[in-house]
Amino acid sequence: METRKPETAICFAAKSCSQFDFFPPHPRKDKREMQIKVKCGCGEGNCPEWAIVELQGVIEAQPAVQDRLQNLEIGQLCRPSSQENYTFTVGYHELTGSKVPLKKPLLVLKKLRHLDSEQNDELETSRVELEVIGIIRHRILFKTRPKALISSKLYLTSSNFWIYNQKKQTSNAIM
Amino acid sequence: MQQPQPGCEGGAEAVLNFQPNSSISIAYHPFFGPHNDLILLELDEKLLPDVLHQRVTLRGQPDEDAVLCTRSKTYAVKFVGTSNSVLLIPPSDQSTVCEKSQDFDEIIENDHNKKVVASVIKVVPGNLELVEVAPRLDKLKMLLSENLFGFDDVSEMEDLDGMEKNVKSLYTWDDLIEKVQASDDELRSGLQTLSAVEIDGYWRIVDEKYMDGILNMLLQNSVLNDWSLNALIEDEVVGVLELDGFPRKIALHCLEVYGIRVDQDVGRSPWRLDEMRVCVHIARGILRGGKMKMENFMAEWIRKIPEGMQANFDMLEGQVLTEKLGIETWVHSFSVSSLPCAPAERFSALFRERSKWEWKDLQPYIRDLSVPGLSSEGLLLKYTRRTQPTLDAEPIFSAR
Repeated sequence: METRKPETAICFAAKSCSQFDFFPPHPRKDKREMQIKVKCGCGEGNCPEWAIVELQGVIEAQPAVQDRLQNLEIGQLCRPSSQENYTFTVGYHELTGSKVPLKKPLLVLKKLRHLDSEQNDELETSRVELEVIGIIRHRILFKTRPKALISSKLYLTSSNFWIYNQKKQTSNAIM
Repeated sequence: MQQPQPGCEGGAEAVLNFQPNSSISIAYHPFFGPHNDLILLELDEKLLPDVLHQRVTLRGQPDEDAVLCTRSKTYAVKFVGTSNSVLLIPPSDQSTVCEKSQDFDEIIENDHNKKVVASVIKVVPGNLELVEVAPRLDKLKMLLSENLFGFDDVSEMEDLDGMEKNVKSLYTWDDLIEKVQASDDELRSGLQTLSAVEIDGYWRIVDEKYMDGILNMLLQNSVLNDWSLNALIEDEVVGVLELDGFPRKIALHCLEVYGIRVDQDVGRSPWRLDEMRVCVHIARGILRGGKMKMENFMAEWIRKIPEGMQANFDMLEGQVLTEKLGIETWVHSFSVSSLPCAPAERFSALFRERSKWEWKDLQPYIRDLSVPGLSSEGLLLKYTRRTQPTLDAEPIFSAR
């Protein structure tokens, strides 16, 4: 059996969070900013449910693949019994966690920007809308630190394992 | 090296409906990225129907923090960051995310042995939270005070060529909901508290001197025409005031501000002038010139009150303050409606007026304050220092 070199690992780097800004400065101060409507196409009861897998620390990929994460496998999520307990294996680490209902639901909003070009005025104003595209009611939470999977084979190959403190890219949610 | 199958095959459903004794592969989505346009908003279950029925909006100008408004309430929007890795997994058929059509059904149909994959579209840095706040109505007052409706407006209304009407500092309802961070209900009640009136589509506060003029004219006419102040016929009153040069809309507004319909359920019911509102208005007019000795003020007030009405100094709670200078008591205008609505600004205005307040004086100036999640005792604790020289003495409130 071929042992694949893990391409992702978990590390515990401090993560910085960005300020959320709904109303960025408008290029022209005197231009009226529209209020932002929150739209919903799904209606009550039909809102598609999204899922969250939450763990401590930051998942880091090996430098060779970190620029093309798309489609990359992060790990294996298992439900070993009929209880709501889960394991998540990332690289040579195993996390143990459980499925917990959220105290308050989370809505997934998607920001839509419409361009309105006005007559008599060549200015283009963008009108922002938020659309509800999903709801989250549960998460699978791994709140413990990962346990190393010790196996002689894995141990030998663990030198291929990369954990590094790449500064987390801050995602600025500017509207 | 074998890459996991690209795609959304399992999606959130696979994670949420996880069968015991099974496993799924968690992978980065084919469109994994920062996706700054995807935002998570935490909210109370009770607000869900409002959002799902499209009754909420975010309001604020570019230089203000956004608030979320339902029909009746206002919420501050706070970003709460997390240091955990929160992997967001959309449902498999999320066409808004997987924009390119990919035929996964076939893959799932044909290959049951293939691992189910749930794909992570983004790592979420945190979510938005809502905190109920008081509406920001001070701004409403400020906007409407920029351009009061007064005598100039009336002469302008008479100029029929006034099509180039100066609309500077005039605000329609739609302008106000863009500019004021308050829900529709709160904005409506704010406009009512300010006695604002919609004239030609613009919400205006009528200049107090102008209101003086029209109320005096109404009272004079009631004497001349032998009207009862408890049963004013709307058409008659408005008609006569129009002949005196007041716009119909303002004449009606005068009845709304100083009167009550005798029978609320009957549309064309007569109006009764409200004793308290009329008396307070007259008192304010008298004190506009500055402070007065109590007895002079009372004499003038009682003289000016229309017949059949009784002036009572208690009516002026929250409108005037008295102070003892030597053996004389003086009274001056200090109206709660002229003070800011935001608690911190309100208390600082109060302590500028007086450094020490007795409860009976202070209470009328703070009873209208409402801060979600804070009782009036909480407000006092937060913004004042309470001293009580002896156990049976009245407590005194001073600035913190």
